[in-house]
Amino acid sequence: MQIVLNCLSLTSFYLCFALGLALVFGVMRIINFAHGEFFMIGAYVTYFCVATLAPQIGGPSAWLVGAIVAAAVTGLLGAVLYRAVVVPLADKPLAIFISTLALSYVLQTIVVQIFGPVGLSISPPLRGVVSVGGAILPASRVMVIVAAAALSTGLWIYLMRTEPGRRIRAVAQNPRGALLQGIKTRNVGNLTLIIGSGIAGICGASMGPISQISPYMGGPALWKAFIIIIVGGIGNVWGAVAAAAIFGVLDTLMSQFGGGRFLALTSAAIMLFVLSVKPSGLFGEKE
Amino acid sequence: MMGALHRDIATIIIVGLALVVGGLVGTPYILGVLIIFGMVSILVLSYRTITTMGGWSFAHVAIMGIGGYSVAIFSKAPFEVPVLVAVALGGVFAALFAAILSWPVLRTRQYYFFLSTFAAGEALRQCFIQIKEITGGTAGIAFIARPGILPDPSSAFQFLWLVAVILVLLGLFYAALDASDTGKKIKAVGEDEALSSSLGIDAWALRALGFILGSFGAGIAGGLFASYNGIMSPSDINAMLMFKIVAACVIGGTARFSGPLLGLLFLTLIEEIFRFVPEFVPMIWGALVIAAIILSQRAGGGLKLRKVINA
Repeated sequence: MQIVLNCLSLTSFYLCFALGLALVFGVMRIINFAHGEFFMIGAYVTYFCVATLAPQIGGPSAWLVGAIVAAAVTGLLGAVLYRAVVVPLADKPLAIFISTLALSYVLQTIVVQIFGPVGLSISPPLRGVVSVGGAILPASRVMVIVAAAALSTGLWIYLMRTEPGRRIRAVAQNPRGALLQGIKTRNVGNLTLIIGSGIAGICGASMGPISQISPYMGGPALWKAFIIIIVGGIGNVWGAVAAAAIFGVLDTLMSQFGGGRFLALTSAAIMLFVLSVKPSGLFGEKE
Repeated sequence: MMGALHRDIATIIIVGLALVVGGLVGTPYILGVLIIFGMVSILVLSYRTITTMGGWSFAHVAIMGIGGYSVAIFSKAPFEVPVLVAVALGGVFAALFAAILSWPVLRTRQYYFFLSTFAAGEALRQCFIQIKEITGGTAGIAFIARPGILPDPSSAFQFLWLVAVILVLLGLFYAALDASDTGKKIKAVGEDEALSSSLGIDAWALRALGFILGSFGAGIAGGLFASYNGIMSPSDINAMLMFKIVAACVIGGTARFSGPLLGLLFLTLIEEIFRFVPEFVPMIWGALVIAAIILSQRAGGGLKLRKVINA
C-alpha cells in the first residue's frame, strides 16, 4: 500500500510538470526551455507569500494565495514570452528553443540576485500525515496528488467542453484549417502559453513545501519532463499522462528496491529504446 | 568553394598563431584564458561540424566528458598509457559513443532531436556521477598528468602550444571535410533531407557521420581539459559550457569557421569584462543570445545567422 501511495505521489508530480510542457508543445510545436524556471519562480512566489502572509492569515490560506499569485506571475511571464519571442520567431522551433534556453539563464540569475543562491524551504501549509490502509503519506504530498488530479481534470474539461478549449484543440490538430474557420490562432497561442506557464507556477507552488526550493531546481525536473514527453509522444497530452504514470511507478519501485542510483540511466535507456522502435513516441502520431 | 576553404584554413591558422603569440606576451592570467579559449575553440569547431548536418545537439559537452574520463582513467595505473595517446583514445571513445547514440537519436528531427540529445547527455552525466567505481562519483578523478611529450609538462605556455597545434590540426581536418564531396553531401542533407534522399544520398549515414566526426573533436577537447585541469569531475560537464558553445554558434553564425570562433571570442570578452561580477555573466549571455536571434530575424537577411537559425 505504501508503495502504491508513493507511486501515486511521484506520478502526480511528473504529470503536473509535464502537462504544461506537453500542452504548449502540442498546440504550438514549440518547446519552452524556461518551463523549469517558471516552475522555480512559482515556488519562490509561494515562498514569498507564505513567508509574509502566514502570520496574518494562517498557513493554508497563505499557501493558497501563494499558489494563485504564482499562477498569475508565471502566466504573465508566459504572455510576455509569447509576445517577445514566439511571435517574432514564428515557425522557427530551434530559434525559439535557444531563446527560451537563454531566457532560463536570465530568470535564474534574477532569482539568485533577489533570493540568493542558497536553497530555502517553505513551511508546509498542512501538517501531519494521512493514513490510508495502513500506509502513511505526509499531508503536503497528498496536496500534490490533489493538485495534479485537479489540474489534469480541469484541463481536460477545459479542452473538451468549453469554447476556448475547442479552439485550442482545433489549432493543435490543424493550424491552417483553424485559421480558415476564423479562429484567431495568435490568441489561441497566447492563451495556451499562459495556461501552460500557469500550470508550471501551480506545480512549483505545490512542490515547494515538499522539497527545498533553489534557483537551480528547474533543471533536473525539466530533464525528467523531456524524457516523459518524448516517451509519451511529444505534444500528446494524454501520452504524457501515461508516460508520467510509467515513470512514476518505475522510479518508485527502483528506489524502493535499491536501484536508485541507476534511475537516470534506466530512464534514458527507455527513452532511447522507444526512439529506436517508434521515433514519434509511444502515443505520438507520425508527423 | 575554394575561396571558402582557403578562408577557413586562414581562420584556423590565424587563431592558432594568435594563441601562441598571445601566450608569449601575456601574463600568466591571460595564458590561462588563452588555453581555455583554445580548448573551447575545438569544442565550438567540432560543434559546427555537427550543425552542418542539420541538427543542434545538446549532448556535446557530455560527450566531451567521455574524452575527459578516458584520459583520467587510461593515463593512470593499470593502463598508464601516455597522455596524448589517451587524449586520442578519448576522441575515439567519444566518436564510438556518438555512433551508438546516432541509431536512436538520428531517427528524430528538430524538436525531438534537441530534446533527445539533451536527455541523453544529461543521462550520461548522471552515469558519470553514479558509476562511482570507475569515475569516482561526484568527486571525480584527480591528479591527472599533463602530456609527458612536452619538455616541461608543468609549463602552461607549452601546454598552450600543444592546444594550438591540436586546434590547427583538427581545424584543418574539419575544413577539409567541409570542402570535400562528403562534406557537401552532409550539408545537402542538412538543408533538405527529402530532396537529398530522392537523389540517392543515404541521409541517415551522412547525418551520423557528421555527428560522429563532430563528437570526435569533443572527445579530444575533453581529454585536453582533463589533462590541463588535472582533475575530471561531473561538474566539468555543465550546462553553462553547453550554452556557451550554442551561443557562440548562434551569435557568430555557422556558415564559415570564422563565425563560431568570433562568437566565442565575443562571449569570452564579456566573461572577462564582467569577471568581478561572474554571477551576472549567464544573464548577459542569455540576453545577448535572445537579442541576436530576434534582431537577425528582423534584419531579414543582413546577418549571417539568418540562414542558420531557420531550422
